[in-house]
Amino acid sequence: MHIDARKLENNSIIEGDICIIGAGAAGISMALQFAGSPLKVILLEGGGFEYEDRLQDLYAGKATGQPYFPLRSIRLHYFGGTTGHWAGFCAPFDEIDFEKRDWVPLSGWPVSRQDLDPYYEKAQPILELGPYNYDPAFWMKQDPAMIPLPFTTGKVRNKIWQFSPPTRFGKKYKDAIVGTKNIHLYTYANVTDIKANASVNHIEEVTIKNFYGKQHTVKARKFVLATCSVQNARLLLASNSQAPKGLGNDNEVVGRHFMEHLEMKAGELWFSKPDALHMYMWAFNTTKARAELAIAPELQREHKILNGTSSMIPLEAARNMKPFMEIWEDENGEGMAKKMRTDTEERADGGPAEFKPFNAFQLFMRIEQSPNPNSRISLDTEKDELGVPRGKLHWELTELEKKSIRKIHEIIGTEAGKWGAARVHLFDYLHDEKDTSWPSFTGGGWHHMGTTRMGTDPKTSVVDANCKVHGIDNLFVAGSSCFATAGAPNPTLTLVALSLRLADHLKA
Amino acid sequence: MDRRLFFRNSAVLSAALLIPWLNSCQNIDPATVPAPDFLSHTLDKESLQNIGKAYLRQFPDHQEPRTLAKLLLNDDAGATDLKTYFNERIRKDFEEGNTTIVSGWVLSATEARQAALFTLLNK
Repeated sequence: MHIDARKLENNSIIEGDICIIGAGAAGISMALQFAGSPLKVILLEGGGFEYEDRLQDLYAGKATGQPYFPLRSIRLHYFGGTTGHWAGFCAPFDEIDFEKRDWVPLSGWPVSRQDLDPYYEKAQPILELGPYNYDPAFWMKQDPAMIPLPFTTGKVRNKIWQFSPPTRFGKKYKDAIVGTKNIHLYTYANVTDIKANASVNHIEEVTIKNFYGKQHTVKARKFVLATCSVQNARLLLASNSQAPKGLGNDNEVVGRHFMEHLEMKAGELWFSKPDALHMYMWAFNTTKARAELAIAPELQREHKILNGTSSMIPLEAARNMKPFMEIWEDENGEGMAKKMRTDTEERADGGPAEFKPFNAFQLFMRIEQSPNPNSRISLDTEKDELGVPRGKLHWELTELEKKSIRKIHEIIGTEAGKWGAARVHLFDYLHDEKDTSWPSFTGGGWHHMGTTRMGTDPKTSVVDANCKVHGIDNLFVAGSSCFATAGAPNPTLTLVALSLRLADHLKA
Repeated sequence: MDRRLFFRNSAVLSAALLIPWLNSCQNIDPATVPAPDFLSHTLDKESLQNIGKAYLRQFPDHQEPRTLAKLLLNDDAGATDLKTYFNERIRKDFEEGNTTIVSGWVLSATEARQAALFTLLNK
């Protein structure tokens, strides 16, 4: 059922069993797991069902360090959240992404890929994907035109992505949420404070506000923060009336280790004969799966590099494409959402994809960022219209990212050379291996991760293996802010899987 | 054998080996070395020469055509089809990790030298 919090009598008290704060991919996925259960689920959404500028403004904040996109537009503040403008790319993390890697500081998750596999499978239909099968051989059988490049040694492998339509959770699941009796969706319910008991080891209630002067209290047995990496950290830090450093932040880890995926051009792959590379191409609304070039885990270990994949774009097209840092610079969240949707949807005609052959392709990198405590979300002194200190981002990269990008493409080049018909050319910024600077087009994929990272040690993590905040028995976090490392793929499939796992844990 | 006889025999033996080798080096015609097959078919002349120039900056000791030719034809056992011979050398370079990055290109050491030689001969 749906309640507009603007219409409630002021100072209402709302009670339930589980309170999920945030109705994006994580929050909605979780809430639906309780549909029809005896539990009363309160689902709080700060916005309404459509974009509103004034609400979006609550997300504005400063960014320092490595230039970043405007914080105001990187997440969408309405029912459905940032699924309102995502592109639908989905792939599970690799096993190595969950492992302790001695060259990646603070790597290692308290859960394994095997722990998540059943939840990845459950997440597939939620994101309107195909079967939980990311084996290239499976997809090659579905489409005989998918012919892999002849990397025969296994050092360069094909990692498969599947494509969600993309699922706009706000449209797709509105009826399901609103029509379910035991899910109580409150819109215009911005959480501005989380209140704990005197010992600060149990959450008693949260305060919600809106622009209509209404303030209400929500009480529940368990609370789940699902407002994205930036906002999850911001809310914990800002809830500091009882814990001066913020909730769950005795060791000052909340907000730290903000991670992105670096997404940027890295080189060119030249062929002696033109090829359409059907297996590696993507047409919006048509392509079900495609491959990107990945480096075998044993080589990642040997060369001590991060995990990342390289996709290919015909050079003819790529040379006319602006980098994300130039395209996604608009502070206007609705404008950005429309721009991002237009970029993809207008190219769709739903017909079979036909890819022309070219003899040169741009290699476009997507690579994890190494966990860096200096890359962080903290609180600004400036407050938003509801009185909550704004979040600010300091984005910081390390030498390992650049070293890894160069090495990944050197490996691809060496392996391509073995079959004689292709060569790799690195872009200028990668020529000098001693050069640690970043070019102006360095950007991310709007994948925000790690600010309430998982771990067993409260000194280096915020939540445990069950996404429960260390030291607080009924406060949980859902979403990619729990990621201990960023992995190579886009985060949505993994954050939905993790959220489904949390839902199971809360049911138990 | 006394020491004087040993040294005299050694000198004769060394000369016997060295002179033909020196002759063969002097006989290497750098122009017989083909341009790198993949690069010359894929890139324009200027781009190929830029690779060559970058290689020569990286390896200033290789500025002489004969030096490069010697490196390239070092184990040429009378190969008649040099194009096939070099393509096989290049493939082997990649197999063995004998690669170099020149001006951002991930290349076999052999083809990088071929590019450099091409540049020297086509100034």
